[in-house]
Amino acid sequence: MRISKGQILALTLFVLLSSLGIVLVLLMPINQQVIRIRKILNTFQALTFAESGLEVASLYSLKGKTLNNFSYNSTNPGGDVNQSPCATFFDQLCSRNTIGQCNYLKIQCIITTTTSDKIEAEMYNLELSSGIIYSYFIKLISTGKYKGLERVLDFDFLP
Amino acid sequence: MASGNSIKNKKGFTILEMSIVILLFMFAVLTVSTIYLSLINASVLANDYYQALENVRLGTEKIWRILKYGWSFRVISNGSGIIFQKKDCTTTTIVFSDNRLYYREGNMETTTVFDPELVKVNNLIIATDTPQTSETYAYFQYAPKIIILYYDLEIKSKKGATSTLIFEQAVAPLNSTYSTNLCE
Repeated sequence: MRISKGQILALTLFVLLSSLGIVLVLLMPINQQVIRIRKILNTFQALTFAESGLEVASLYSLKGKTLNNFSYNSTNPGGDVNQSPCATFFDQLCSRNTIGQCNYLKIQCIITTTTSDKIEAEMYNLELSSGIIYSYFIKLISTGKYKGLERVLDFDFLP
Repeated sequence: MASGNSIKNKKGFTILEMSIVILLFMFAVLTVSTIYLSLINASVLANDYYQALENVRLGTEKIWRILKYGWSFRVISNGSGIIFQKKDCTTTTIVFSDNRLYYREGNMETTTVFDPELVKVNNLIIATDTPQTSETYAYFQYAPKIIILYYDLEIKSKKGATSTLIFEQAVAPLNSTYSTNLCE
């Protein structure tokens, strides 16, 4: 049996195209691995933001203050210290509270590095009795966001 | 002679055909081995990053626990460090310097919070609240109620790849609600 040049050419093309296909298919798990690493890192960052929100909000709630839609968004770091994330954080806390409460907690404003992260927390005070309030519980929902990933911490407690 | 003629009459492969087959085979082996190596590298990278992340978790957890039960906090070095007293009243310092985060407890040897082989600290900023009061009778009147740490880290793999990790950590010290500072 004699193999013609046309057959060799066809065989070559077939192997080349098959190899290309195999390369593309086998590259998928590598890409997935890289994406997975990135997601693990991003989700860690989102979780730390959620934990921070929870820590601050629980401190406020223990001090008998009510926070609604408290948020911290560090999108404008650098430059004027009054525009630093720290100041924004403080202002947004204060805007939900009275001056007296505001004076009690003042964050030292220090310029920080650029991030595009957001902490949001909501707090609800639910009265469990009618008439005299003798007990209540506090529910904190803190959402840490980082690059499209969200970590939500839901925390209930009796102060 | 008859057997010799039958061999001559059989049509085998030419050298060119054989060369093409070997070339294609080598090409396929090369492709597969390259992909296999990439897969191994990605796996090693993931493992390295995971180890570094665990180290970051461990370090931040340690800092959180120590600060949570500490006393008399004072931010130093323009926000790149903090000095305080630990639960057992030992003077403790956490300070950022030379791309490392140092931890020193009393007269003990200074250690790093994160493994320098795995984690490079690009920046650390520590902020605390400053209660606006001149009252210093009770500890809770002047004690900071919240400490926020901004971390700008770089986790490293053994092959030299790096990835940035920027996050913050808030700690509300438990003892800041007490009237007496037990370490004074």
